[in-house]
Amino acid sequence: MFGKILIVDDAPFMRMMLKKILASSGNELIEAADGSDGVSKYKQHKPDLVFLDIMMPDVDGIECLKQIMAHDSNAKVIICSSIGQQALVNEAIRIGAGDYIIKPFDAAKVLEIFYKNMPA
Amino acid sequence: MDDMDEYKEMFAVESAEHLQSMNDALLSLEKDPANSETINVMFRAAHTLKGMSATMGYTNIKELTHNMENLMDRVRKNEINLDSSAIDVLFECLDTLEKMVETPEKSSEIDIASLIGKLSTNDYVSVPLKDEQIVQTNAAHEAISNDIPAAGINAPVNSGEKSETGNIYEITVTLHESCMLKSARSTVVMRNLSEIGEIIETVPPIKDLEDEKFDREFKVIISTIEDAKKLEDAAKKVSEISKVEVKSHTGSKSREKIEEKTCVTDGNGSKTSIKSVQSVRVSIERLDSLMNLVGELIINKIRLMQLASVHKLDDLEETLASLNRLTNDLQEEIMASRMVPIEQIFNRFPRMVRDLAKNQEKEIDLILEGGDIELDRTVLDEIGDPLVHILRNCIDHGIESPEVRKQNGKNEKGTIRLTARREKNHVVIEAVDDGKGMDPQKMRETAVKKGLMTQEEAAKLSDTEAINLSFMAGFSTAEKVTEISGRGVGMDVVRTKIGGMGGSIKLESVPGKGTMMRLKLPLTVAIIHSLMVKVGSDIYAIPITNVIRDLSIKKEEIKTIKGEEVVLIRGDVLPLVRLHKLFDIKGNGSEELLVVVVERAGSNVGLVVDQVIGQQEVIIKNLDNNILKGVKGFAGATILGDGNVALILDVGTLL
Repeated sequence: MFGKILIVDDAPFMRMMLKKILASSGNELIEAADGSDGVSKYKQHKPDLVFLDIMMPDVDGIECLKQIMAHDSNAKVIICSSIGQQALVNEAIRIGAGDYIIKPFDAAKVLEIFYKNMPA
Repeated sequence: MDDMDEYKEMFAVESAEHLQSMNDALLSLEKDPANSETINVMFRAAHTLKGMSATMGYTNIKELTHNMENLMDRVRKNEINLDSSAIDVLFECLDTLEKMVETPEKSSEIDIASLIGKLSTNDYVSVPLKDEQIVQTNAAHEAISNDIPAAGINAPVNSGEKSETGNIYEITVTLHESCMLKSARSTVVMRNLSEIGEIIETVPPIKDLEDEKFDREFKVIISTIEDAKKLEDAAKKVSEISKVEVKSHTGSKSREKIEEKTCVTDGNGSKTSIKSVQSVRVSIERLDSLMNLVGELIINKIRLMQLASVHKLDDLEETLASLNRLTNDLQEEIMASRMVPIEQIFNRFPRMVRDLAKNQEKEIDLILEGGDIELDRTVLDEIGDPLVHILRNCIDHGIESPEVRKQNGKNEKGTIRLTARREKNHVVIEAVDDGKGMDPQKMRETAVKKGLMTQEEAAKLSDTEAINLSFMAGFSTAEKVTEISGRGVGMDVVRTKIGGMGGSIKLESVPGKGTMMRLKLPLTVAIIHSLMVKVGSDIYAIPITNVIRDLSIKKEEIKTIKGEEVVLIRGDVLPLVRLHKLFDIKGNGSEELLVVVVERAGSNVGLVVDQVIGQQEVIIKNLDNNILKGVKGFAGATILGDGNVALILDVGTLL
């Protein structure tokens, strides 16, 4: 039984990177191109796991996370951040993000975090 | 270093800590022999030391500590009273233990039979149980000590200590090498853990975790009703974690907390349990060599910066700017890691003062303040002996016998106050006693009697100058040489030693009221703030602590007294020393002379130089190789940014 993974990132390149890495897991991959898209795709698809970019225009990662958590307090969200956004990551964790990963993505780490957080 | 060596080192350091805590405990037991908490401290320290020495195979240490533990156990159970003879025996044991611990391999050669005999004798007064309360207090303690294994012995996982809130575990989390944003990682771990238990404490503190002030490892001490496996799973669930170690907690801090909760302590139960600090032990040589390497790194960095600016390489300059910041941070970190609290030497003093006072039948209260002030390890090593000497002087010459004090309307008990405090870039240590003070007239007489100066010269001295005679070589006012003042160093050596580190010493005394000795010490000796001057084509560094001011004078202002050049500054005679002459460098013969006024042995001297370049922090390289060892006048050398070497003047020995 495969699950659904939602990837929220404004950069198509980053989405592609993640998709490539996660493709091997066999799960269904859904993409969202910004924060508000992310929230609506979450509501629509009820994914098992979300990879959420923290820096996005308009509705940023934090706002998107807040809305997702408000909608589903059990949501499993992994924050994608680049180095140097410590404060934002900490805030996201306080809001309820389950874990975080640093860009540029390292395939092994993405898979590690995926297997640790994906519900069985 | 092989494993055994490492164990030995650990044994040496840890046993020294236990000995210190036993020493402290005994001192306070002497005043308050019934304090059950202190008795327990004593008991536990002996017990731990016994376990450690048994592991190492030091049978004699084990035997002795075993018997001490037995004695303390009898005291604990109120079978015997801890009278002064018992305390004396225990002190004797500590002295012997100290010797044995110093060279544990030879500990078997020391005869401990008589001590063990004294320890196990039944002569000690047995006490009938006085009232219910003692029994209760004791029972409470016993329950605790049975529950909690002595420090250093870790109970196996899953048998955590019980407390009201559940088991206490210590979780050591090691982050993966490649982990970035470590603080966020730790936050995730802590959040996961806090969902299944109550976090009591973290090492480093949460604030440091948030500021990312930790390496790859941090510890969480947690109280939970869940088992170790569950904790481990919760922490392991987070990514980028390379290792999670869960063990039931035996660290000191929360143990103290538990004890506070359950024990009926009688009064001053604080500061009694053995301190165990979460730290890595690094030898001072290693820190020295680190410091040295950073020094070299900085020198190379400055060279690179010069090259970049000469060749106008903007890209390189930008890169170097961040390198600059990094090296500065690195230097500060290393400096900070060399700092140790002054407590480490203060701790030795209560026992010393007690012994000396008892010996001379004086009553002395030693008050220690500011033990938490930190100093560079090297400075601390250097000031130990001088402080011992100063305290001995206070006891020997300062504090009067109880009878004399009573006659003079003073409290029979004398007081010595040893204080440390931070003042800007210095640490000031003051030793103040309320003894008989120093009599300037007597000082003058002694100086004449000892042939140090003529009657006329002595008469000319001001009272302050007369008191300062005690710093002269060959001067001692002790009427009879006691066991204490007979050995050790004189005050002149103390002054030279303090001066050699770039510190200064000041003496004030009021006859009948007491004496104050003030030491001003640099925080570190690895780096000194210096005034850079040029003589001929050479650059020299003068430690800023010696410099009073600089001034420029005209050639015709120089006068000659007894063949020595001097200049009058606001009515004061300032002797001049031309560094050109001293170093045999050709002067430039200009009409205007630059003078740096320095303080030397309480008076001012003007050093004539060619150019004052400015202030700079320089890293000292010692001149301690065979060729340069004997050269006087220089405290060391430093390497300048352009790679040239500059000598650091030691004003004390230069002239």
